[in-house]
Amino acid sequence: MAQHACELSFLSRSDGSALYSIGLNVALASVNGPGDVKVSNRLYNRSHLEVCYSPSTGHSMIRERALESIIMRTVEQAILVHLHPRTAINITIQEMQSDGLALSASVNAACMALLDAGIQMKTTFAAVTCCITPAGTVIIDPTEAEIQESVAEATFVFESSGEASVLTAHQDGRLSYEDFKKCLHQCQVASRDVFAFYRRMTEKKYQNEAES
Amino acid sequence: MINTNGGKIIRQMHGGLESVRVVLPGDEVMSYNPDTSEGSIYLGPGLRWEDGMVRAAKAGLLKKTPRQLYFVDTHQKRYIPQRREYVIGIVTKKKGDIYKVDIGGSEQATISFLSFENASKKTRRDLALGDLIYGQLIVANKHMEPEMVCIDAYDRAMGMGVLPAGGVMFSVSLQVAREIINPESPFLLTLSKKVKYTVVVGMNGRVWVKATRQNNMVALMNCILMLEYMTPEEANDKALKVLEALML
Amino acid sequence: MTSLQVWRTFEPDSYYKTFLEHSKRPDGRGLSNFRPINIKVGTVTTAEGSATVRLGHTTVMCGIKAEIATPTLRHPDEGFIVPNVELYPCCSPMFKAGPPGEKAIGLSQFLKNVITSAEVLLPSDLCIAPNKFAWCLYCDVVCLNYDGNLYDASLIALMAALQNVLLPEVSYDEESEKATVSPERTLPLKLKRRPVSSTFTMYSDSIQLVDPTAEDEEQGSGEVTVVLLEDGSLCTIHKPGGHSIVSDFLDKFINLARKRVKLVNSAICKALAERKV
Repeated sequence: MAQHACELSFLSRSDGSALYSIGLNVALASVNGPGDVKVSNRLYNRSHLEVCYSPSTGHSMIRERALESIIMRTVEQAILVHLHPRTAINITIQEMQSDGLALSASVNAACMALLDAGIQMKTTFAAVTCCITPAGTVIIDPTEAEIQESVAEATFVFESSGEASVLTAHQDGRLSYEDFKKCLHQCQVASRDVFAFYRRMTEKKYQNEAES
Repeated sequence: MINTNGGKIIRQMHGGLESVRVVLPGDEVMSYNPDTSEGSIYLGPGLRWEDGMVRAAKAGLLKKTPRQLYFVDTHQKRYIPQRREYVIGIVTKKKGDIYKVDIGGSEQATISFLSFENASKKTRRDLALGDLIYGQLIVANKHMEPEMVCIDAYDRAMGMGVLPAGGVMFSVSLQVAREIINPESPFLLTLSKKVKYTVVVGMNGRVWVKATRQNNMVALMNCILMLEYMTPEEANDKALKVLEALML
Repeated sequence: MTSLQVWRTFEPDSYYKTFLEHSKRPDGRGLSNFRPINIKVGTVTTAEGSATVRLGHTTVMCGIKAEIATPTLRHPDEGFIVPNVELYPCCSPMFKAGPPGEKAIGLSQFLKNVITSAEVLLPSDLCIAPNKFAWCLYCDVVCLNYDGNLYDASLIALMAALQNVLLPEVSYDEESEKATVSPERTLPLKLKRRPVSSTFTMYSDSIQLVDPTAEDEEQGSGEVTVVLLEDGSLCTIHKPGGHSIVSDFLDKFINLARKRVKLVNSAICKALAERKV
């Protein structure tokens, strides 16, 4: 597994933010809310979620819009949206550096930023990307070069509570069902380390207060 | 010390408050069933009860008071209006008999011109846009617009009302506001040894300071902002140094 | 209004839940029954290939226009397949006019992903002359009536239209570096694989609905789309968020989807045969 690192409250102006890196992939997520909402987006029974993803180079294109939609649908499931009707929660993700794991890094950054902002959530979630080589071995957290040589790449987002509950599955390339299950299982095992990492980061944030 | 695997190493904190451990959303805190479990418990912010299990909904420190009140203490910046909390608002709009006040929540609060001390239809006092109001929320729930008043149940101001001109207002994060809202706060008392000042703290993370001289106010503001990154004990000595340096 | 309609209007959640408690859906189907499929190919005469698909009330039309383009420098011997999904307000009030929304973009990406992962068509087969000319297939999918499950409907429409495509033969003269198109001689595309998708809506931990209608999608929380190849092997599983699932449920989904593959592919074949007669 690649090295995970995270810095909470990286931005001083947003309600919550996190700089998250997996190996050479770095994403910065900022969360604002629950705040004011445009009248056209106002929902009477839940808060409106908005995800904005900007790539490290160039303009936001179809790929980014598709990523936004995946991240939004994932986050929507974890946040207790009905607690704040007629509000908006904005999540902005800036891809800083990418080596094939942009989606995982941004999903994890979004989760840490939501924790930092103190948004009420059902559960935490963690994304793990893996790829499968022509020989059939599964590589967790591959590099861009490894993905290029692989037959298929898959990203899974798991929720922390419950057994192996998959929130999101996204794949590139063809996977047989056996390989799919193998990838799913190994990613799920890897996700436990990510959740443990989340806990360590949160403990670090509250360390001072706990000791005083 | 904090035990990571949810063990029960409990620290005694001031005021009988116990800090149990760090929790993340979805963590199981305890199982509780009102029919079978003994005694009653109270759930504060950041906890929810579902299917006989109390779970955390926020990341933070799980705390417990001797009266079985559990809550999650978080470091957050966004204010979510709560009934009976004292807040500082900024008048942004006038709409007939009511004023709209920005209190930092998702919606602006309203305040009627009658909810000030000694206010009547005849002795109406006009508020200007941009005025600062210190008041209490009497309506705050997720389905309604928050409403503020500047009087208590006996129509007395009790310190609430429009804040006089000549002070300075700034924002801090919510846990800093909670830290210094206590009038006996050791940190504020330390500051008062050096300089005479008036301070008003709103639960919405807004602090208003007034002193006789401008540079004193700037010095005080910087001292209070230090709490964002330090514990009050750490900030104590540094604050005194800043005060000495800036108040020449 | 009858009392049933009143119930449906004022208490849509409890109305819907009552059906599920009896393992039925408001349209009379069981939880694991698909809707009937109706396919017609060659419905757009100006396009190189086209198909109209009805899945219950969901109606989707796919037209494929072929153009000759210059290959990119990175892949000089490859043509292009560009799927694009358009959701206009005329098919459902949930779509707004203007630039493509989140759902339309998600669908376009999904179709592109399936075509490349399943290797439906090798991009090199679309090349006429390396570095000079290659076919570019614009696959426009338009929804005419929206009643849920656009993933399945648009993939069926796209696959039927691709099988309906007839490209004119192009001869390339190396000396003059010119291509001549002979419209009288046409060739079909060489499709390698024929993927079929099956979509499920998750309602709760234990209830999943096959082939959701718009009402099912609204009541449920999120969809899973399983894409299988004609031999029943897995191509991809697409799950953009939504209610979480446990991997045991995937077994159930895949078994249901396997039956669906033969059904859909034979329906496409039948439609193609009807066209030829």
